[in-house]
Amino acid sequence: MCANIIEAVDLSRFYGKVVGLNQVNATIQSGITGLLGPNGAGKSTFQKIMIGQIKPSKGQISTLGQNPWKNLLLYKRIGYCPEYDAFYYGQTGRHFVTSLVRLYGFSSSESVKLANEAIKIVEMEGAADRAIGGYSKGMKQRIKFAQAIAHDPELLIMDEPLAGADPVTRIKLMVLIKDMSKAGKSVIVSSHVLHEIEKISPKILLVYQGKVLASGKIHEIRELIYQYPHEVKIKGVEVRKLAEHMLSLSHIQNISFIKDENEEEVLYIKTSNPSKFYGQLPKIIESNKLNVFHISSTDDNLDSVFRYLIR
Amino acid sequence: MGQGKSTNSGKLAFNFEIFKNSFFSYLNIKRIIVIEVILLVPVIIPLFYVFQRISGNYNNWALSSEDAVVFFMNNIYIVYLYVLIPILVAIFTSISLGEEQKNHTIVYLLTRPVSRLWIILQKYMSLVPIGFLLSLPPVIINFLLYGAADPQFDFKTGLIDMWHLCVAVMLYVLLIIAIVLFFGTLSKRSIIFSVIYVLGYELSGYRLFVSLFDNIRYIFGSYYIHSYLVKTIATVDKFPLRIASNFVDIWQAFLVIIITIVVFIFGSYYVLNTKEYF
Repeated sequence: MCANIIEAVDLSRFYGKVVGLNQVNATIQSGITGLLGPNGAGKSTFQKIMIGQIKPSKGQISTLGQNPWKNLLLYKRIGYCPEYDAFYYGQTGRHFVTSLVRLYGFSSSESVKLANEAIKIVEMEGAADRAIGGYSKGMKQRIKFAQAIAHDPELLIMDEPLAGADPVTRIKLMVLIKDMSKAGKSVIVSSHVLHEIEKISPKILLVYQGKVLASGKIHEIRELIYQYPHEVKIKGVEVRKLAEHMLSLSHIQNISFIKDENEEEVLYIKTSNPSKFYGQLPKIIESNKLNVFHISSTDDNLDSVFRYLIR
Repeated sequence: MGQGKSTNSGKLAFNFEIFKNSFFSYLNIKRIIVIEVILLVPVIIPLFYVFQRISGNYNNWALSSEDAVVFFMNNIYIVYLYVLIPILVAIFTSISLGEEQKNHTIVYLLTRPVSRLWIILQKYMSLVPIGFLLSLPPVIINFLLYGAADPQFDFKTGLIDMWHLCVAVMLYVLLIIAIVLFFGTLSKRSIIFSVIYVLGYELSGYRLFVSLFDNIRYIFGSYYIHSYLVKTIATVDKFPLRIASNFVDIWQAFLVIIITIVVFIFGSYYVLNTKEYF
């Protein structure tokens, strides 16, 4: 067993003139660690270097004590859940997970067994025999999670697993990530939303413009970030009804509606207390039986904090 | 920290899962029907021509065997071999790794303990039956149709000709798959590369390719060997010289094509092993 899951020394990655990572020195230990930073900060680049899919331009990295670049055998010990929807859309969820487990070298019967276990863990048994093309965003996130955990990896690396997921799926995924940690696995989760990371783990690595700005001091970061209003984007069938209920909450600073490219109304809410907001939101949705299918946090506020931090 | 369940933790995964998944993903009924319709168009149009001649201008039932074969070789064969088959096989091959890149599913292949060479070989193998399925039936059907139009048709010679044609088509398909698969490792827009390749091949490559074959005979001093083999086969097996020559041509082409395929497969492996895909 190695105490340090990830060790990065002067790690840099350049894409031509663009800096992906800039002299990162970081150590990630077992348990759950959050990689926090706005879009384009370098979180995904860092994770891809961890799993050996991108070669560092400079510096060194070790994952589970080994150099991950082209280290095929190391992949048996890692589970990776990509950010984007990467699916073979004609396949069913069960087929998708089973065939990907097979690629770890398990026999057909073992793969079926492991895939079924993983599908059960992510509570997708009911939909596992349906084509992935018909899945909701939340179901897709869960089936991606299943393929990453099915072979029982020591280290799970997840790139923005909560992005775009509905509130119920968010909660389920958070619970699953915590369960993985309880089972003795290490998890590295990236997100651009502080409160998401905060609910999963107290340990964070703050990444901005390719640099690690801070690590492990979530309460300090939290205080700093909450000086800025937090904006949330909500899509659903009855967003105006939701807005009516939200108006009565004291921490709501502003509510606006903007039509998206499909001419559908999108609700933007600014809150001064995100923690409270995200605690109350599922309750309001559930008690009023509202149909909300997309919640995401715009990261303008986080970005401004990061800009403040690097000054 | 828990230990992984890997039963064979010291070995890379070695099974046919990628082959199986890729192969069955190509077997889309709608897609196959569309392709078969496309393939039938150049059969139907010349058939009208043939039957018009049969019923209108000629009292006897059919064109002569020679006419039918020549008509096929000069028209249909060229359309199939140099236009339709390359484009269709190229499109199917582009779907393979190009789609994996486009849909980002390549991430799953590259984060598994599977040798990159094994990934390429499985992708290649999965395309071979599809390539044959697309190319051989129309060639055989056409040949038989035009052959059958003549009651004097010599089936023994005709079938040998057809067999040679099929072998040539199979070799050609194997080559196209290897080349376009290589394009697929380079870009997710490999379909564009593939069409450029096919068109380029039609415009200039074909002549180069033909001259390459001729040059290879010179390079290996095999013109004499070629003539000797042709004569021997023609004597021993009592085949006409044309068929014996085809036979030797195919073996020479086989050698060149196999070497080219190996080069492109290792090229694909090299790119897949070194390129950063995501």
